[in-house]
Amino acid sequence: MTRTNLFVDVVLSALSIVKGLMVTLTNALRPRVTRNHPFQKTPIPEVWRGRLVHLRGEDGRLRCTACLACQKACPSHAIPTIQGDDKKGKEKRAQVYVWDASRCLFCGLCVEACPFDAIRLTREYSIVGEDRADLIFDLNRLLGPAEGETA
Amino acid sequence: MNASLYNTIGQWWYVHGLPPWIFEAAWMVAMAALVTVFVLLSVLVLVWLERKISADLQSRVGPNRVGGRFGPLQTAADALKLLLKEDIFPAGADRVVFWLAPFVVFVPSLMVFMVLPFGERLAVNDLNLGVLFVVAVSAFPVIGLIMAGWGSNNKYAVLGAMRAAAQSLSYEVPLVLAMVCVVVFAGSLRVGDIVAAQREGGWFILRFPLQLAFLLYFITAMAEVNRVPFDLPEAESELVAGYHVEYSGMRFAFFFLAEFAHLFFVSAFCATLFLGAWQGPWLPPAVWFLLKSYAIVILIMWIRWTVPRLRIDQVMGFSWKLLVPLGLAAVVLTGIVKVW
Amino acid sequence: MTTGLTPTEHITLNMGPQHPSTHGVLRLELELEGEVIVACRPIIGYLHRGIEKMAEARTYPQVLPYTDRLDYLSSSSNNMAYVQAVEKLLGLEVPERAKYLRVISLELNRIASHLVFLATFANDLGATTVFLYGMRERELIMDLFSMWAGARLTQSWIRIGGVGADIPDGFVDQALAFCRLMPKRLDEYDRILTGNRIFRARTEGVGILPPELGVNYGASGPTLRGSGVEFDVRRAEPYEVYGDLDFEVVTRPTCDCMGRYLVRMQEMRQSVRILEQCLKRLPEGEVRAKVPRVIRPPEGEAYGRVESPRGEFACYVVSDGSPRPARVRFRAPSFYHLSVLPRMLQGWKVGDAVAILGSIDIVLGEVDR
Repeated sequence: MTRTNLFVDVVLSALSIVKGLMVTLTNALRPRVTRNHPFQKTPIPEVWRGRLVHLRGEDGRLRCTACLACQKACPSHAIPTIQGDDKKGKEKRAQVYVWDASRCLFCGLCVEACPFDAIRLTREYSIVGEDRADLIFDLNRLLGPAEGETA
Repeated sequence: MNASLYNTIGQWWYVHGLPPWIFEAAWMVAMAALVTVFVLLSVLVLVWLERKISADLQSRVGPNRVGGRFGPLQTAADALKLLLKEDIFPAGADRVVFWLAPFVVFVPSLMVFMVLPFGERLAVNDLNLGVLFVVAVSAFPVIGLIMAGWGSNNKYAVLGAMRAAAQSLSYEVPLVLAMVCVVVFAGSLRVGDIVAAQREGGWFILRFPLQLAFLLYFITAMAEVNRVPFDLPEAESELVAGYHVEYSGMRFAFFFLAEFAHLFFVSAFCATLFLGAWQGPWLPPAVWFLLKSYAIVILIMWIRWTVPRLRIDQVMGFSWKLLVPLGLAAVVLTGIVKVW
Repeated sequence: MTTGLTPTEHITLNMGPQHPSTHGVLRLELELEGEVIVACRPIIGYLHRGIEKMAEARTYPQVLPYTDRLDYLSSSSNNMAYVQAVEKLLGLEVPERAKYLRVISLELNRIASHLVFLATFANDLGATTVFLYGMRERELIMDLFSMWAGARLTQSWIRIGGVGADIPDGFVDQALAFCRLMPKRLDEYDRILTGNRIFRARTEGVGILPPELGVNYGASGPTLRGSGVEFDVRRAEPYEVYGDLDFEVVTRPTCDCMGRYLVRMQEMRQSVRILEQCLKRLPEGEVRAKVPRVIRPPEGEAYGRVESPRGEFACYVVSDGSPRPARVRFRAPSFYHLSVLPRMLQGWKVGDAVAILGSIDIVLGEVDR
């Protein structure tokens, strides 16, 4: 490397670093992109694949008829148990339904498989528990909120 | 103010016939305590500042919970956490060396604060060999780093310590050369005299050819405090944490404290040598001194959060092939200008 | 350096599986002479989940969500390779709109994946701020995916016969806005990183991968194109609508880390170009072909290959006529890049090891499967 090259190199190097400094400065002047999480929730889109819920028909009864379509569709056996009543009413309805959140891949194949639109994945993404049993949901904990009643 | 206080109390003490050594000892303890408290408070501020600045540059918010909207007490909370953590000695560690290392690193970085002039005659002790004292003492922590690296019985730590030693030794040379320029110009090794010389003829950074010395000092100072692009001894993505990889809790906090104390010191000393220390209009001298120091600190942080890291051979090459010749040239040039 | 008088010992340094720069759970057994790497032995398998074996016990649609977990940074391309193989077996024709939507998904994922590369590569070299910038722009893509597929990473939205659902209202506008923003941000990365003297010193001439060596080891994608070999599955064997689209296959002749880095940076620009074309040309129509509820492909085998952000990702499916595949095998590009890594690392320093490892951009999810 000749002397002049070295000099030019040093100057250009310094300039390139100054350029970088300017980039960080302009970014410091931009509005912040992070959110203050627990106080400022990120908007979750409607189609979000979160916690599973069971929907109820207009009569308030579960839509699920325990047809086992979701169980068969599930790739990871996250829906191990479904039992219906013995057709006491006009149609069969689910009595026992277990969803294991710790096994769920949240792929939505069960929702697609359901012929009655009885289940849905919701926007609830924070599924936490203190032990494994807390992540196994039975029918009582799977009932959808009141506004989700009619599909 | 400092010296006059010493004289006033000292005279009172002598007049009442009390043994002088008690006064001397008490004065030393009081000054040491003062420096320690100042350094601890500065580090609290600096860590907070570093986190806020990095957050700003990265489009983040940074600490914003502890102690109000801007999280001023975040560092205090973190320090408390470190204090309460378990003190771990890794299996196979050289216990004495491992135990001693944090103090060997921490104490010298506290000692150098002795010569900082916060105002006219407002230094703990304005030694007549001040600059030499700074050079000597600030070279000391590297021994602690090697002790930490060796004592940890960890390969990453040893690699980090070796890098720290190599880097510290190579950058000490241009650092001293930069200081020599200033000393030649001021004609004294006493920090007070260097400041006085700047009062008469303007700040040293404005006087040819000390700009070169300033640049040299600034670059080597960044290397001395192990900041990106010279943070190889800890290089998180390469050596995990370098020499302090095995340290936790309070011992780790000592390394952390030392690092930030040293960062503040090199900035403050930069302000002293080149930016006229405490001199400035309207505001009290101590405020001016802190303002200038923090300006340098912020500049170092800004660079740290912008550029990537060099490789070890590039770091060494940069020092020996570029900075040292440049430093020698600066010394010669300064000498010529001074004699002229 | 070993002299005759003082015999020196090599240090064996275990880099990983817990190490900030091994990009997952990889272990590199490095043999060091001081800081210089004498030998390197990558040890894999920490993330083995047996996905290929699991696939044999799942029905054809059920395998799909598992493919997301291979190369988790670009799940679309994994889905695409598997779906392509199954569709070949079924002889299924996919609606035109679905094809465009698939390309949109693939290219969005490519940009997202390259942004993660940029972010982690910069972070490995000590430029922490660029890490945050890369992640910031990636978040815009994640927003697009979550409003379309309802998931950020593991979308499994390229389904057998089409895509999971049509894009929602406002998607096209938001995606076009992203396409407008992205080139500006890329210029910014160039200013802060590409031109930076320190970055250049760390990447130029480092980690040479000669083209013949790359080809012999089965390297592909940007890693091979960084060595000047013009090979891109999108061009070599166009799938979906890539044949009709106008884009360049970016190559660099330098064979070093900088070359691989620049190829990826340029590819992001090309992906933006592809995205713009697709979004503007998007035809109306169905997004999913009629697929029977139980998929029973005729006996046979099929090979689906796509250009994932890491290289040629392929999937080989053998059907025995039952609803479950008899064998599924994935060709993961990262695996081949990892096998050539020891050759690239020799003689470089520990600091370069992270740069070279970062520049081949591996994902352990697909290596260990």
